Amino acid sequence: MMNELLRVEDLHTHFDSDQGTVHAVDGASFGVNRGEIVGLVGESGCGKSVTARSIIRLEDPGRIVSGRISFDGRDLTRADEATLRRVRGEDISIVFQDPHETLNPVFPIGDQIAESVRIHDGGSSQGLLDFLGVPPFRNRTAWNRAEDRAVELMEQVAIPDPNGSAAEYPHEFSGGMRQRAMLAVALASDPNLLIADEPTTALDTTTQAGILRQIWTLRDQRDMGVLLISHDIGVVAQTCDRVVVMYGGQVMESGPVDEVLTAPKHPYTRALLECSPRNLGRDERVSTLEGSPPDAVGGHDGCPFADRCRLATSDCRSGDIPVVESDPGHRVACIETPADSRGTPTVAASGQPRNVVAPDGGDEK
Amino acid sequence: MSEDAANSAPHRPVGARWRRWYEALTTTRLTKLGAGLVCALFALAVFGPAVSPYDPAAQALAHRLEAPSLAHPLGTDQLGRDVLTRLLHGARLSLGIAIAVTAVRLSLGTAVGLVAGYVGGWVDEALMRLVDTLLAFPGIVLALVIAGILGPSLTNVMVALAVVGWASYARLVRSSVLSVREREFVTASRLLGRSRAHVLGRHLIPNVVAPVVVLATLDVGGVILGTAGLSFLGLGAQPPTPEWGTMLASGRNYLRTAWWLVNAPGVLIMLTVFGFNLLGDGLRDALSPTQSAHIEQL
Amino acid sequence: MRYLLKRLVTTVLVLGGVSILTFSMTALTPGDPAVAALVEQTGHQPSEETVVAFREQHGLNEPFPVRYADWAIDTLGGDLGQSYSSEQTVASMIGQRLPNTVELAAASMVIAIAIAVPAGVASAVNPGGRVDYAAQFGALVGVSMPNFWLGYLLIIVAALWLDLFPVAGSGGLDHLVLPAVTLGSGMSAVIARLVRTTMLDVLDAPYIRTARSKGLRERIVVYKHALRNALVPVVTIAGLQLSYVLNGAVVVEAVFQRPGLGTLLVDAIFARDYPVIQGVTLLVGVIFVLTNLAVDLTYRYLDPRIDRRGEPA
Ligand SMILES: Nc1ncnc2c1ncn2[C@@H]1O[C@H](COP(=O)(O)OP(=O)(O)OP(=O)(O)O)[C@@H](O)[C@H]1O
Ligand code: SF4
Ligand SMILES: [Mg+2]
Repeated sequence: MMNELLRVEDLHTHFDSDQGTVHAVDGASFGVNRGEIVGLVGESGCGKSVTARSIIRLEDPGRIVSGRISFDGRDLTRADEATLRRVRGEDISIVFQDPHETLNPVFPIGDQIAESVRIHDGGSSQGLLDFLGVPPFRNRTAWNRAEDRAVELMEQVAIPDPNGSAAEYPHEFSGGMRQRAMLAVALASDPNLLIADEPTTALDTTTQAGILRQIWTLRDQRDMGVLLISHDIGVVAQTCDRVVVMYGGQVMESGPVDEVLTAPKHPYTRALLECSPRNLGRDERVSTLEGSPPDAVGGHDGCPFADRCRLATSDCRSGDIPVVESDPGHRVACIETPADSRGTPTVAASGQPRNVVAPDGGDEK
Repeated sequence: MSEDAANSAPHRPVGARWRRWYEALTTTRLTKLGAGLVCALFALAVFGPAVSPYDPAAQALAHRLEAPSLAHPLGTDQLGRDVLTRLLHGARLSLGIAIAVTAVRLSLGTAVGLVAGYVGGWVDEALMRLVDTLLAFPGIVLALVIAGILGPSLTNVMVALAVVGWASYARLVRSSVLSVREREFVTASRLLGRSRAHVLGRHLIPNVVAPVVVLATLDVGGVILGTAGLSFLGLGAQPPTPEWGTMLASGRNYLRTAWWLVNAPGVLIMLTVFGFNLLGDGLRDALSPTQSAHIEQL
Repeated sequence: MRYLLKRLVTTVLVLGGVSILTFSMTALTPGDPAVAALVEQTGHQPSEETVVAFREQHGLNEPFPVRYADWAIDTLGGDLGQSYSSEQTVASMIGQRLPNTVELAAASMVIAIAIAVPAGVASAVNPGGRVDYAAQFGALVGVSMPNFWLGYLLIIVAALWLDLFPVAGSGGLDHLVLPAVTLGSGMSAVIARLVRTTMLDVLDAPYIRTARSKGLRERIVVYKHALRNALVPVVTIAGLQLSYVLNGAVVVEAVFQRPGLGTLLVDAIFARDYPVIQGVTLLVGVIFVLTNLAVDLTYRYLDPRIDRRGEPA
């Protein structure tokens, strides 16, 4: 696809823990196109945030063991620090999940946004003394310009009284305002791809709607690609063009929102939808699913969902699970993918060629 | 102390508790080095004087200020005495003093901390103001003044060091008491009809042992430095007592001609303090995670 | 504001305690302080009349509380009394010596910070690495080294062998170097260890990841975003290190024979010059308490979160 911005290919990100190696991301593949909002959903702990952090290569203390992350043709898994810095400063921005302390507590909000602006404008020439604000080295004109731009950005993300707020510290902002400020920091670099990790989780409905509308508008204005991570199927349904469903560090199903969310093919997606009506409470976790998510320690052979899947057979527990492209752009990783999306899932019997394996992304080859 | 801890926490087998301390002592190379140094020093202090062929006080003016040689590995001093022999006798003195002073600090501080935390109210308030006042002085300066006014002697130095040093133990123990008392309400212990004494005995002692032991281990080094420092200034041991600080002080007139006279005791003091610091650091690092886990599980 | 008031009240209370402690120290003297002082001055047992006259002259006949009150009132007025052993007032003796000690304290603090901050940061940036190992080992040796020995070591090497600096005394900058290095290096060890731990903590904070995600150079992430946060506890402890400076000054001044508060105190102790002992001890206590107050206020300035909450966490 010509306008594909980001492609994640068979990504494995591991952590070392006392219990063993945590396979937080265990072979995930998906892509984001220019001007497209892609939702990334899944239960808590399925690896969404680690995936997001791996994309901008801030997976530390984890490590990417294998796979490819290509952005605009560049392979970020092999890029050196300087390239990564440029990519972060100019191409990809991220709004991290934890709303607490994602902004530096000792600098005013305006300064933190302005810093992002300067990084973007100044390219690779970041002088330590300039950024520390040591008088003779501080580039006054550049900082003044950046501060003006910061106020503009704060206005854009609908922070009231941006001029006054710019001088305030993070602890003086409410949670919602902090999320907006983070969004402003992210947008300051005029990114081509915005990764927003649960940007609205802790917020009330009005604020949530406001921020999502912002993202929507910005996407339209800048033709920006967006990877929106959320627990809230309702939010994803309203905001996204496509959705990627993750489970146990792998992608279970991906495709256009109206197909995946109305006619889910993967048993996991169905289970997820059944117990999370669209009006799922704001920060209610998708936890009503029977059983618990798999232990990511040590990884797993076969389908990660097998322990909780009603259709599981012995085939599901060993070897690779084929990824089937049921409709163009709609991929399902399940042995039992039924043809009839609404019927009781049975063994694919109705002419749908079973085991015509199209590995995720294989259509490009 | 850990004996108490083991008994008061019956859910943990005694062996496990000892193993925890043993593991704490042997987890890192540096801690092992510290433990080794400390053991070696104790061995030297205990056996060294017996092995040495010289008398620490016997003067041999014919052999004064001899440079290190096979006969005198660390040379001789201005009165011809063997420096190594004197250092070994000094080790006995220094280690003995350090342990005695630390023990007094620990007992006094623990007692005050327990009373303050347990009784509370104005007693707590008064004791803590006293602690604040004591901590408001740089320790050595205060000890210097106290020892000086009492009159120069090793005993007075010990008294002074003990008097100025118990306050941090009191603070530590008091805060442990308070935090356990706080948790007492959170846990159901009291609802189960257990007495306050039982709760404190069962939960407090195990919690306070590790930090107090760590503090004491680090403190031993401080006391050794303090004793040597005050003796160096002339307030502690008087010549001819082979105290390390006193020896260093009398060596200062021979910096040019007999460099070993200040350096031999200097290196030994440093190694001793270094050993206790390594040990204390290692214990702290090794015990604190367990400690916090233990607190969590209460 | 409320906190500030409370803090000031406690400070005054502690200062009161410090003054009582200082003053009552004389009571520790075995025997009669007047006799002890006269013995040190004259070298022989004084006659009955001399003792009576001495008592009269220095107001030692009053009961303890009265003497304390007199002394406290005079002290508040800046009058620390008359030295027993010299013609000078205690205040003027202190006035002569204080600048030397302040100079030493300031120089050693500068040296300590100049060594400690880069070393601590270098340790924390690559924990478990070679640099970290070396720095930690060095710091531990630093805290374990008695500074009176380090002083002589420096004298032997830098003054006697290499002839770079004068052996002892006070005066120009060259007299300051060795004492300041002696005092500063021990202090730097403590501060470096603290910088390391706080930096390790801070480098794990979410806002550091945010800073990196902006495309900021690692150097700026470390020295701007992380260090600025780590500075909060570091300033506190560095301030509290004043205790170390004052402790150390006593010994280091003795080693280098610098006239300062430390040597003044030691001389007064041997001369049983009680007014001087009381004056210097009180001054040390006051300096220490006020520094703690100053540190607390700086802390509030450095950490914008504390300022408006009223109470520190
Ligand atoms: N620093 C870390 N060290 C060890 N394991 C980690 C670390 N960070 C994440 N993990 C593990 O990686 C897995 C995926 O975590 P991740 O944060 O990506 O989940 P998530 O899908 O974002 O969940 P949530 O919806 O709760 O944010 C989890 O099992 C988690 O325990
Ligand atoms: S592969 Fe097997 S276990 Fe996995 S979802 Fe499909 S049917 Fe269930
Ligand atoms: Mg997450």
